[in-house]
Amino acid sequence: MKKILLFIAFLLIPAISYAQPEITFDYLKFDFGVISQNEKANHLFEFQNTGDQDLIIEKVSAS
Amino acid sequence: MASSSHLKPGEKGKISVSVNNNGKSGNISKTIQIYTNNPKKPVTTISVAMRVKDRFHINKSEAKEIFNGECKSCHTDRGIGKKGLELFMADCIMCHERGKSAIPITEMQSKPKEYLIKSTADGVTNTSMPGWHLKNNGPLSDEEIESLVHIIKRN
Repeated sequence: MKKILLFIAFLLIPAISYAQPEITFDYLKFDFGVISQNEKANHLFEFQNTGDQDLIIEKVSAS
Repeated sequence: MASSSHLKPGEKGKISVSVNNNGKSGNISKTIQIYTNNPKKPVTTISVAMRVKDRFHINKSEAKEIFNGECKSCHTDRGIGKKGLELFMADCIMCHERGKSAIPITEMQSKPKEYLIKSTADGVTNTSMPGWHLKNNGPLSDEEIESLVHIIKRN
């Protein structure tokens, strides 16, 4: 019985440590190519929560 | 801006990136840091890049176009009849020092004289340097090219 419990405990360790949210983008870089001044440069990046917990985006900052 | 800041497993979201390039030119890149509650990787970085051309340069692709049409009034007409430093200030400095599309004077000085004469006369492939010699439909004679190389090496 002890052995079985120990075995289950070992199985749970990776399960607990890997349970996390994960943000995954289709791609991380986008190149607009050559554009002229005053031409709108807007792009939508799409992502997915590929983790197994809720993903919270806490902050987005640009530099 | 993110479409939603709280996503369930498997849920998709969008982040909109807009860059104001008004008054800018040349290569621009912006990076965006996204902070999440993933303890193993709290920051994910995405980036956008662009090359901004002003309205005069938007359709220009070949270096030698500066000798023709509407380009030459800025690029080469002001150098007509000039030599040496005056010619350099009229024709060369706009790319070689002010603009960052060409190598700076200090780097030119480190090259041999023969190389400078040849690359000025015939241009440098895969760069924005055209061949300036008359034989390449450029505006400069042997003598004018030598006067440029002379002041580059002297300084």
